[in-house]
Amino acid sequence: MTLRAQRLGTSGLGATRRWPILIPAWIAVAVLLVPLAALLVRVDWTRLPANVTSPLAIEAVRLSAITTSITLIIVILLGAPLAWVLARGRHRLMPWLRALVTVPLVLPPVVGGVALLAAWGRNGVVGGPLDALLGITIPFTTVAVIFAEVFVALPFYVISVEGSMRGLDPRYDAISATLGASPVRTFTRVVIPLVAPGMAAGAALAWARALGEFGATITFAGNFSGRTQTVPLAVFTALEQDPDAALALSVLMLTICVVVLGALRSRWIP
Amino acid sequence: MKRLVATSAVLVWVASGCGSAPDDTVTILAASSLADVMPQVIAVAERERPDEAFEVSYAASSQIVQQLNAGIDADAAVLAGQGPLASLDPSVAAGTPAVVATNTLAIALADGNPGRVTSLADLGNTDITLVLCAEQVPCGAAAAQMFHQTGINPTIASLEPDVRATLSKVVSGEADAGVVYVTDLVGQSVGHLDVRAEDQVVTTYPALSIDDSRSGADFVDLLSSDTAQKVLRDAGFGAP
Repeated sequence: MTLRAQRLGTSGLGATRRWPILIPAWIAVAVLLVPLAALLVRVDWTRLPANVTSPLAIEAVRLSAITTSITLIIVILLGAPLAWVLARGRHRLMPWLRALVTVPLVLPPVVGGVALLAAWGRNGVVGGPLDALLGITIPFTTVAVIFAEVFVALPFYVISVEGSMRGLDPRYDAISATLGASPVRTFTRVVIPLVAPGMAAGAALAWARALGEFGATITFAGNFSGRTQTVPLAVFTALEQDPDAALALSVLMLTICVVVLGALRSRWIP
Repeated sequence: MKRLVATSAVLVWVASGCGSAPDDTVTILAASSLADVMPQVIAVAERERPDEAFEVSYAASSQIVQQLNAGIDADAAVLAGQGPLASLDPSVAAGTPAVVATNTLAIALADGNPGRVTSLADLGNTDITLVLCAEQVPCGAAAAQMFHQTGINPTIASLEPDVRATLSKVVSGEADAGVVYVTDLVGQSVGHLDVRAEDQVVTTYPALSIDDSRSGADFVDLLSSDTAQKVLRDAGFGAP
């Protein structure tokens, strides 16, 4: 069995015995790529330039670029320390904390939006006092879009980076400590440089998740061009009346994702 | 291998058999804003025609038109607004659609009326949080027309994807006011302000039978019957 498992990875095995693995593998590839290819087939290429440069599209792309950039900065600033705590923490409740912070990963985004409203809404647990005492309301603002994006993207980053940090030999931080470095210095000078590829991979994942965020945003932040209408919301709104424009925006988003992830991959991710 | 073949056979059978409705089922495509009243209309239809089974699928009117143009198997369709009809393939539905109901706009107000909205003109205040439907859906198109014809320039917090989302933003208190259909307020405890007749925008509901379906045409006729009209009236819809 072990022998067969090892030989499967090599090309020496006959095609007749590999097909039980190859056929489902190719079906999987088709399941993932056929819809994306269909986008490219159905899009009206002659109207594409006009569709992706319409005022609505430009506003949406601009807003998505700004919000996902700020989201990424927040995610890295908060996520890296949390990942380190989760990777090295020895408290018996640590596995529970890890499970809790990954809940947004599996939560339907709409539910995330409802939860964000319950917390930060005008009548929310935190948002209520915020509105009454300071006059600050978060829903229907660009800040709400960033809240929604951070909420869904942060767990992706934490889980990915925590994996790399866990794989780091604890002797590195022990040696750094014996040489007199403070925990902060150890973290910034030893840990972060060593897990940089993992952090880049996590950042790419988190950014892509933030870019695609729809359910929590439309529930919590609403939909208004230039303020809260990100690209996915613009696609959804356009779909009702102008499917061509929706297809064009979808192709644009697909291209941005492929280019950014491709660039990150060749540069940072092994 | 044998098991795989058997599984595939079952899957093919399920896909071909269970997905499509049997021939004696009348399939109706209806605009989302009819979702609350349609089950009662169907109950009337089932009493009148006990030998037929009815099945309703709800979607935005623009989506229904797209489905019809793509050749979906349906007997009748009831749309919200005349706008979506413009993009309907004329070969799908013959004859003039019959208007079976009308709907008008109302302003839903959050609990305690925090925006102090007492007239339609108050929706032009910049300090209220106002939500509307997106212009791509009928309730949004009607709201936009209402603001256009009254010369009010509203400050909009959000253009929601459908009328239910608009209403829920007001019910939850996140928005001060929202423009919805009067039918959406039936049975809701949310406060509201009526829109004066001269400012009002009327949305009509055209019904049409698809592909010369006999049972579809019967259903369209039934919608105009006194019994069905009473059901529609009780749900807040206006006379055609």
